Amino acid sequence: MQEKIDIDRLVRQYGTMVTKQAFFYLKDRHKAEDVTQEVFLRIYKKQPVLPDEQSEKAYILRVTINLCKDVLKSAWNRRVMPMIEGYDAPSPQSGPEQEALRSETNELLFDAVMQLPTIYKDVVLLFYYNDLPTGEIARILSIPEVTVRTRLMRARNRLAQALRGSIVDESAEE
Amino acid sequence: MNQQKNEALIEQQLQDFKRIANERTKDIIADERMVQRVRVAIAEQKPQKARRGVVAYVAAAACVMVMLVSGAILLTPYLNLGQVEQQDHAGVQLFAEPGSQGMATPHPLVAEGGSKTFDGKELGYGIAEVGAFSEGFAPAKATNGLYGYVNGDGLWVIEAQYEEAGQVLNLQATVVKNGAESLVVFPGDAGATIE
Repeated sequence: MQEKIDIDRLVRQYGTMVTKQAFFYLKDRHKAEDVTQEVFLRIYKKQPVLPDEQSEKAYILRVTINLCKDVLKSAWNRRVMPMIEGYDAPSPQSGPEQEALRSETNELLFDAVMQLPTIYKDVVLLFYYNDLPTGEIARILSIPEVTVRTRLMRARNRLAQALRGSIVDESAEE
Repeated sequence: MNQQKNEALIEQQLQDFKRIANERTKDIIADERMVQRVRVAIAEQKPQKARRGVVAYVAAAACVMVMLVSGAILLTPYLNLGQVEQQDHAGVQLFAEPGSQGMATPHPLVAEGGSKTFDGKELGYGIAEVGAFSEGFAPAKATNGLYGYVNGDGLWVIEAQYEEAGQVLNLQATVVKNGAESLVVFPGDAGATIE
């Protein structure tokens, strides 16, 4: 008989990852914590077979993303909002304030990713934040791998457009 | 800068996204409280809603007070000079930095049931509950059951008129009014007092 999942270990090991991932979608810490709780409750009820850490992480991320989307759809009665198209990037700057600009660019990049439509945010977070290969992302999101790559490319295009004029070109400094 | 070069630079920036995102969310940690919360949820076979009415309130002059959802004011002898993390679910817990202590003083506006004016006019409601502060503003539930936003002085900066009010991010927040979601934009000066 299979042993019950050690839920305490899972919360300790993946709880912060889940809460942050949920925060990226919901932009609200309390809701992210509610989702975190529900993710582990669902896992406990379902008792999935997760043979290794990679399977655990992938499964937990899938449950987290699906729950976040449920919250976004149901609680907020989501309608289409102006996202990246309406992003107001600052004017280009130059001069000796490159370091400050780089820091500002980091902030802008984070905010721009947060404002990406969900289908692009999914892949950007899983690829660049969770360090998952495109094949694993495809399994988590239940989409073909080629779609993952296409969405990544489109996400980068959108970010490039949104941050036009505010990116620090490091090679140009040398 | 042409589009191709711009995209290459974005790729370069995204390689650093993990560090940037972790920096922006460094205070988000699922600790033993979350372990406990999940245990309770499992025992009761349903998610436990957090008690969001218990808040730490950073008033002027770095004084700290705690207001319960009932409107009761609970003072704490511990003062955190600007680093109060905020509420907890099972009681009042402030996460002060070690060694920073002092007297707590109630903010008079909140002590009297919260700000009851907006832009000089009398409102028919006060503050019932305050959420987490971000960028100088916090979503607040009014005694009329609707949500608006207050600033660090405990004053309404956006009238309570929404069914839901999200946290402020990049001086913007998502709100729901009559079932429709929209975006509100905040004044640039988080310390501005509107009275």
